[in-house]
Amino acid sequence: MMIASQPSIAVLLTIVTFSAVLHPWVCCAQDPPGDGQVVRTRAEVEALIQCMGTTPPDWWDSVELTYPPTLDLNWPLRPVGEWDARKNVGQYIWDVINPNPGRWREGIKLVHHLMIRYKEDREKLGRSMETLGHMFHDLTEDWARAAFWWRKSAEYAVYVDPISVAHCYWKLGSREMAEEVLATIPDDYTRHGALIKLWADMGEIDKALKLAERKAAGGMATIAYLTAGDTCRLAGRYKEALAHYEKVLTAKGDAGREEDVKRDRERAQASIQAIKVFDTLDVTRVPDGTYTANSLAYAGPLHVEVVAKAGRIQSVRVTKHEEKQFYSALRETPKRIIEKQGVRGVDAVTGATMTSEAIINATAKALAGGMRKKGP
Amino acid sequence: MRLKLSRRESGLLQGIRRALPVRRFVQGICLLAFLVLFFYVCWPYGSRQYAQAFREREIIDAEIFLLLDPLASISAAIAARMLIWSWAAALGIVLLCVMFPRAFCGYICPLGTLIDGFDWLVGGRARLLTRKREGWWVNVRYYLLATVLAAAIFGVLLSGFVAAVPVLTRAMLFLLAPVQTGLWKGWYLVPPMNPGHILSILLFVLVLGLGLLGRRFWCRYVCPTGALFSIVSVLRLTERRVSLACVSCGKCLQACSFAAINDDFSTRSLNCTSCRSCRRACPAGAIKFTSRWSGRKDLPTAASASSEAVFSRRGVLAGLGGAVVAGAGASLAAGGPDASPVIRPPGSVPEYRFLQLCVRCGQCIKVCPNNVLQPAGFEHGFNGLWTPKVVPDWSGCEPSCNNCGQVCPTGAVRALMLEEKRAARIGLAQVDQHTCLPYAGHGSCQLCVDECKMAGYDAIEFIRVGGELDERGEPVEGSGRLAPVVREDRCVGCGLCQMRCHAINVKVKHLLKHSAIQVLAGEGKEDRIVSGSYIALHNERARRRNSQEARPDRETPGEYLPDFLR
Repeated sequence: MMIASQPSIAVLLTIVTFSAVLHPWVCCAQDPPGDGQVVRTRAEVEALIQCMGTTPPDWWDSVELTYPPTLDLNWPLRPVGEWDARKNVGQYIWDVINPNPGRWREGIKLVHHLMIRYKEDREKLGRSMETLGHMFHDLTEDWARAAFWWRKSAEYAVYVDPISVAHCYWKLGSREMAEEVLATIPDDYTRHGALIKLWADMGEIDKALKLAERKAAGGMATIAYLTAGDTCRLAGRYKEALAHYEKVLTAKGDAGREEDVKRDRERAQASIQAIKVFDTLDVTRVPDGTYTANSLAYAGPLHVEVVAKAGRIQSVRVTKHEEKQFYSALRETPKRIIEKQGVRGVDAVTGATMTSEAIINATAKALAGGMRKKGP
Repeated sequence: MRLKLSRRESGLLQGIRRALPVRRFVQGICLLAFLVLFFYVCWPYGSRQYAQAFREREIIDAEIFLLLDPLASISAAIAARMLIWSWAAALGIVLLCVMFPRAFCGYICPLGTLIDGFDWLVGGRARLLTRKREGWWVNVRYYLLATVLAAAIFGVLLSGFVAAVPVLTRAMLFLLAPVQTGLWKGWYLVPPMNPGHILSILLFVLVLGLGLLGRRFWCRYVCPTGALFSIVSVLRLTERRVSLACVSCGKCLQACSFAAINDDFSTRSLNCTSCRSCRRACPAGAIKFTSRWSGRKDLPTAASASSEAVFSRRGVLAGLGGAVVAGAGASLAAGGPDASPVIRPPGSVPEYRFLQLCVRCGQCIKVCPNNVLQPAGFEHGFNGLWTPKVVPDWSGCEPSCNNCGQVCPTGAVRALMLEEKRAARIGLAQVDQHTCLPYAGHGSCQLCVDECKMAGYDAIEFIRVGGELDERGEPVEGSGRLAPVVREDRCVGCGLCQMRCHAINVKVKHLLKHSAIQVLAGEGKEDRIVSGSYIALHNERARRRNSQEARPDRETPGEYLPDFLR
């Protein structure tokens, strides 16, 4: 990864590093509250990555280093023997740490500890850094630290997914840095259309749609059209979105995994329904009351309870769900719906699209149910 | 109760006293207080914050009448060989009864008042069985008392069977509490009955039914709590006296419910309950309740020393023999058909001590929300009869509730602060990997995990099972299922997980025969201590688990960013 080279930034970095030594948190400004996308200059983002990357998160000292006594701390590059989550570190992270939000921090602490343990082993050291980057990105949504450790691991010749790094830059507020990375990736070969989704998130709708068409032509039509539909829906282009979703239902001969294709179709179906509901929905005409509905999320049906009062959405509460991850969506999405006072243009929480969408869809259904109750 | 106003008496006060004698008034208040405490204060609903809601309602101790039954606390203290704080209440009531002999029986005992009511309603009309003469049963209560105390010396607590107040609380629990639950909460929430219920109800019916043999027959001849007060009456400071004004009309004999008057109208002081019914009945005003030593000369008694409580040698021997047999029998019959350890309420003392202290009054069961606590039948042997046990298939122990310990009159269940109660382990949940849906490959399910998280214990987490690997040996994203795992360091055995699995997977969906997660009690799975903090115990376990001795291989974290990484 490229490190900033302008002299002023070097000065800034020196100051930052110096002050970081004196006072570890002095430079690590928190993101402003709310869901507004922050904008930072390249220099600011670089400083943030450097500063936060070199200091531990605020929860660091309150979390103990724990791991099962059966765990093989040598963590060979290839797992040895049968699948055994109690022995093999990678499998332990996969089976025990990832599914349990309560274990995420201790998992990060463990991987960090192992990384330092492999001081002399460049390969293992790099692999640990890459894993650490993933955990900061996927689990705690700590974009600066994720970017830091990913960039660090690249120094040890480990492959780092550029889309994920670009995602960090975008989340940290630098479109410029994100686009710089994304420009090097000509096509979306990802399982869930991550490249298309990120371009769409960044507002580059046409670019996203073009990539989707190419992905569809390349043999992954279902996910390609689904992401195209999502892209249009996010941009408020509902007619086009409907057309894309219809294509998901009719596409044939997909190269993707069978379960993925099946789930993508279900999601397209749910989105079609939701858009049709959105068209007629007018929050100001929903009579006071509490309404419930459900929609399909990642792991199963998700139920919401919406309270409408005086033509406003008073509260949105997820009452029942089977999600094992993506808890941030359960918190964030209802907040965004209330802020927007509607379901149109509420963007899904990154990394938790399905959960977010399910909340949005279910809320729309619930409110639509409320309008019907009122009658003509 | 006599409602006719006497014309011979004048003055408003005397009029009222005639209409509503002090004794009836006190009896009414006490019975009402008992019922209010039992059915209103110990009604655990109205708020999800069960402990707080109960505390707000409990202005006086909800178990006050159990505390006032001295036989319960004295026998429990002897059985467990420890001083329990309900002795203070027992001592108080005994002192009161030194001042006013057996006033507990005549004024306070809610069972006695109920018996009065039954005698008035039924016993007074059906005279077929009424016994005019006293027979072999005269001293049964003393033998029963001896049996209870002797059994207690052998470490077996029998007072729950025969002591006045536990008999009543259990009867109310088994007869009326289900009706209360049924009417106010729904009949489907009433737990099923077991043979223990039937036995307890029969016992209560017998106690009332004895009224057919004579007024207050139970209190006069059978109740060992009353016998205890009779023995206390040896130290009485006041007593009933009859003056020479007596006209031998015999009205006092008819008025007395307690067989406390001899044929010559003199007093059987150990039977007298100071109820003063005789004084009200006496047309000559010859009866006085006065100091034991005052004015002997002014008020010569018609006859001197009374002659009650004649113990036959056979009776005493029978009583003691019975006690020995009961004690030995109960300890032999300790094991029932179900030998697995019983899950006890949180804060229960060690099992052997628990059985010695628990008077089987059922008060904890009454105050327990959602009937998590239910009375054992005979499945755990005679010794386990009517003791409270946690039934997690029915419901789980609420994290916001510590009511059971608050109402236990003898400390068999310790009164714990809510934080302590949340740390007190009553068992440990175990997942059956053969039946649990995700393990068995029968679909995803996270009922127990959600329930545990909601309860705030967060003691069940996920593990991925049945994951697939790709060609490179890497796990395939999204493959496999997430199955529950119990974290032993967090589980307190509340049973909410089992309740949920049972309610949904067994009862509604019929996917399982039994809950796939079960709480088990026993050594190492529960905290059963007589004193001390459960939180401290928890921390100590955590310290031991993490200590260097237990994990010699354990590594300690180093610097966050060592030089080689800079």
